[in-house]
Amino acid sequence: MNATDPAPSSLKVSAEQYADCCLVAVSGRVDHTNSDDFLKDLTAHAEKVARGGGMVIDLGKLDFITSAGLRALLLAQRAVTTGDGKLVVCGIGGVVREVFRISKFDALLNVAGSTNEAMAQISAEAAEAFSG
Amino acid sequence: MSIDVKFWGTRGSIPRPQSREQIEAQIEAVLNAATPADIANRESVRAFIASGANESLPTIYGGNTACVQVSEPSGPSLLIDFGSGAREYAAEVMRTTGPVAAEPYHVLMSHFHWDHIMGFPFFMPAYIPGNVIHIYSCHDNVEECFRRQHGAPSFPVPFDVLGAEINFHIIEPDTDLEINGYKVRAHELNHAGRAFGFRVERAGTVTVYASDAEHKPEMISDGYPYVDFIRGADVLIFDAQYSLAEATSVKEDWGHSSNVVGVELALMGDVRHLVFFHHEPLNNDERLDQIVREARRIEEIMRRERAPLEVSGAYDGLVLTLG
Repeated sequence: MNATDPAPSSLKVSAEQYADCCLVAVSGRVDHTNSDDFLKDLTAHAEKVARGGGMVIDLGKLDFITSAGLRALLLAQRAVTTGDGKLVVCGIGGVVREVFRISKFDALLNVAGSTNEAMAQISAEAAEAFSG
Repeated sequence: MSIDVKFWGTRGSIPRPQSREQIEAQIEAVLNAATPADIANRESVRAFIASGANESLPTIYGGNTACVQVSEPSGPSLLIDFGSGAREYAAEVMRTTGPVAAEPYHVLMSHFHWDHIMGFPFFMPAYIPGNVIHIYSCHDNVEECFRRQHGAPSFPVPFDVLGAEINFHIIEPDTDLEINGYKVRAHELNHAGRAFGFRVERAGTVTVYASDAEHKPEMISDGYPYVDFIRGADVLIFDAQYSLAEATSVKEDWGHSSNVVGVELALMGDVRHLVFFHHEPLNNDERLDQIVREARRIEEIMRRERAPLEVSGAYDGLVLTLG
């Protein structure tokens, strides 16, 4: 490892179920040092999404993301949509928003302006369960 | 002692000539930015254009395909790839040194996709007896590839008519070699049909030419061999033909990378200057400038404790002086 490389990055992924939607909250940083773990976490949750259900990934507390992290989000989307589900990303801001824009991942992933909006895109039941 | 890196062709896939509409738009932009004094006479016009014409023009990237020269002023030179830019290089050589070169030509070939070899039939020195050309490649079918494109039905002049002495050398990757006074190391890149990058060192400078290559995000790790290959380079010539979204979705496995990944790898490798190359022919000058600006912003975001990385886009005619 190069002396100028940062230490392995901190990352926390948690999930809660709201009706037919799994809401995954991500905080910290995702880069090449922990993207494999990030992908494993997302994939584990994606595989539990019921047919026709959905997954919302809230990146509101994500400080930083690299190409490896973006790829993990894309693979999670593919896993969910394979089961006729839907994946929506929300909460992107700051430098994460800039990375999404520059990489053009904002056109590749379904991005909502807020968690409420994202849940509503999954289903009315999910939105109601979240806001309730 | 300094080393010059001159870009004779910077496009990928296919040459992209400027259209009439583009040229007219550029003329209109310059004239709109000029004052009457700026265009009063020939001298003032030249001075106005040389000063950047009030930043009215984007970078003019040009349309020739891959061809890069690494040279020491009044010293030895290497050429990398025979894209259509090689025709311009040959014209310059014929103009400045005459039809028969005092020294042999030494050319490194990354691979044989047509954008990297299409200039050879127009490389005039190859036709002139007295010239000597050494072509180096990690592909053992290098001679076949040159002969194949030089005969019917692709080209009306058969290879055997060429008057120069042409020598093909097969080189091993990941081995330090001396070629015409330069230390050269080749390294395999992830690209259909196998492509090889070249690390070229002389006079304390390091130039890495590493096009064409698809660096998938999952390949990027602290142990990624490519990072050692580029480590400490003064200049990294990097294929950033697609956006990251394209390269990881619809254009996955097409063999090219993005500006985002270029910045990530260059920072990991402690590169000093990242230069985008092999530009997508569909991208106009404004879009290529935007790709560079956005990469500079990605560099600011991703740099952390590292030294700043310079980021540019190569254009036909660009000369970088190292050392």
